[in-house]
Amino acid sequence: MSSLMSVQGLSQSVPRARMPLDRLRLACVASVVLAVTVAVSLAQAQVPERIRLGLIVGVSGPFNVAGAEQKRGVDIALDHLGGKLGGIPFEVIQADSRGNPGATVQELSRLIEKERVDLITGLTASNEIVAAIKPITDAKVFFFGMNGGPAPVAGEGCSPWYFNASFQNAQITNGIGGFMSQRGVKKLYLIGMDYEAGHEHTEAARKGFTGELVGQTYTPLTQLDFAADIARIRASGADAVFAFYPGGPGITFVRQWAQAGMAGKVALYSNIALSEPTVFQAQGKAALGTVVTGNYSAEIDNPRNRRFVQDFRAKFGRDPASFAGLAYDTLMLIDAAVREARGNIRDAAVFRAATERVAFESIRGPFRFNTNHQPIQNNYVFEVDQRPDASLYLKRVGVAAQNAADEFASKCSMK
Amino acid sequence: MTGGLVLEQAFNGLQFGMILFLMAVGVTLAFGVMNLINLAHGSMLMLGAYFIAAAATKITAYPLAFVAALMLTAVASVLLEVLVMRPLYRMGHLDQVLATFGVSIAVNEAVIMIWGREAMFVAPPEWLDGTVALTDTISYPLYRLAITGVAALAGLALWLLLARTRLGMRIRAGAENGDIVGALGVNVRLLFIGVFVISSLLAALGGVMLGPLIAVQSGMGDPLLILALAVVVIGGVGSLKGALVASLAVGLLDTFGRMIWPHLMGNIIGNIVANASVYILMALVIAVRPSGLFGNHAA
Repeated sequence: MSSLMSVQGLSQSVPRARMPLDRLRLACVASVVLAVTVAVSLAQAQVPERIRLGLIVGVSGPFNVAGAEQKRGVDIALDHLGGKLGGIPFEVIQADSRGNPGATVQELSRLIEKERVDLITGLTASNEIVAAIKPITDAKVFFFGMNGGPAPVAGEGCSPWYFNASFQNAQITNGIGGFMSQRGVKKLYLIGMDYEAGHEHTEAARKGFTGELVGQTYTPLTQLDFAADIARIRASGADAVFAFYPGGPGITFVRQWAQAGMAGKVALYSNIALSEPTVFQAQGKAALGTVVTGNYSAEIDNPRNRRFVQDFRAKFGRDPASFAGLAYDTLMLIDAAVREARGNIRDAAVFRAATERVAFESIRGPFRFNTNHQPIQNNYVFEVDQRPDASLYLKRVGVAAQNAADEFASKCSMK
Repeated sequence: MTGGLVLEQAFNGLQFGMILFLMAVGVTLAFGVMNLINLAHGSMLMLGAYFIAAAATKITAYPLAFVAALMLTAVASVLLEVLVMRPLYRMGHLDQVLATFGVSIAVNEAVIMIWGREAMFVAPPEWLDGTVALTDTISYPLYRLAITGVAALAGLALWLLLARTRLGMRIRAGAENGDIVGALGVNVRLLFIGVFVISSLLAALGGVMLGPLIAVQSGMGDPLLILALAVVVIGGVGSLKGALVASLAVGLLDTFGRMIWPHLMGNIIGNIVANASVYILMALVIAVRPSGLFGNHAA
């Protein structure tokens, strides 16, 4: 608009004495004005008056604890955004992916075809994300992932329409192998749930570990009692175990670990899936001393995170878990990207380039997108500790990987 | 494998088996007496765990909270029997499966509405929070020993009830032929409520005792129900003796299998075999004796 104003100003300053030349100049000025007006209005056609943002989260189904925590992070983000995304008024259209790839695809097509959303964000489980890539790529709608990125969609299956604002799955484990060696762990036992993520994370934990692997066990998803496995770990002579048990099984594992008298004798390592604020209440003191890696915790110190954590505590009475932090961060990233593109979200090339380069001040610390649209970020090491009021928190004790990319970028065709 | 480890795993297997027995006995009783396939049985275990979690916040004395949790479950099971289960007894098994599965979904959602999605904390009673030395190097949680003991007492009490009391005689008679028992003047309606409440209480007892060991959250009983169904198929549908033998066999097989198979077959294949061992056993039993180890129903 500012260029248009200055052209109009020029036309007013035309002297009146020399009419013929004036007319010529007036014609010139008029045509410039017209051209600029057309150009501006064309550009404005790409800037919507109101952004329709689709939010799809698994608030029901097997991942509902994580999905509900994502919604809490979104709640705080909506308060902070004050109804505007990158300066443009916006509304949120909600959907429930139900922890189910089939439901995810159905709900995405409802958001895209019926609700005509401009952008989509969310998703909870890895298999939902894998299922979402084709529909959003076919429909040419940008999707911003809030939680996890399975290996296929970071590598060969990457999409120019998919930005992952959270983490590539192995990123929140990478580096712990080296950290354990550095801490003097000589004999390591790996244990995890018998599904893709269980194998991915335990293998990622093994990388960089220089000691001896004394055992490796995968337990069925439905197993509720780990006494037999804990006895095997004790018998193996391991001095540390890396255990991948997210959510409910994580509560079970940590409590049985402490009950078997293992806490303090054999060091327990994992990533934030095992022990974080959504499960602290149920794990209780059994979680103390557990060392976990992750890309976010409430203890990360920067002004944006302090504000987020303070408002989250005020509203929900405890620290935000990483699901909430990353959901909040994803909305803030979209906000920054829309601003960077000057609202041009309907010009795909402009918006994509703006999102790829946006200087986004993440609450987790340094953040930028890699060529495969996955984050380059830190993976921190936390220890479960307690505050004077006996509440548990994740104390930062180190960095497992600094400004680290995932290992699948080279397999992605985007360069 | 040292002697101490074998002993420890034997305790683990026994305890796991006794919890399975508490679940399986209810499934098999409901089928034997009321001809009911009850997929909502896992909900009773879950309710037991939630009730002890809720009761423990109000009542500090553990035994009182324990009794309160069981009484609350008994009330819930009477309501469930009268409102939902009773019409199902005369329906086909497919209707029962659909209806009781629906009940389990409804109860799972109800606990989310009442207590929230996140898992609840249940502490074991302080006087059971220690360990017992098995050998010089291995100690075993006292609480797990207590679980095994209480479950064994519950099984014994059930056996006494069925074998030595008039109510037990009627239940056994009802299992043989409910119509004749009704014609002889026994109030079959009350009898069925009694059986349903006893079944629910045994499952809830499992839930109350598992509360401090596993995550108390919506749907927590469902994986155990699946195993209990396998146990009932192995032991013979409707047979109490079968439920006991199969529960202990499955508990011990699963626990020792986790040590033996990876040892014999290497980590990868051994792990797969260990995870599938219960279902392999079930398939073998069905192949040799389609009605299960102690079943008399012709298959």
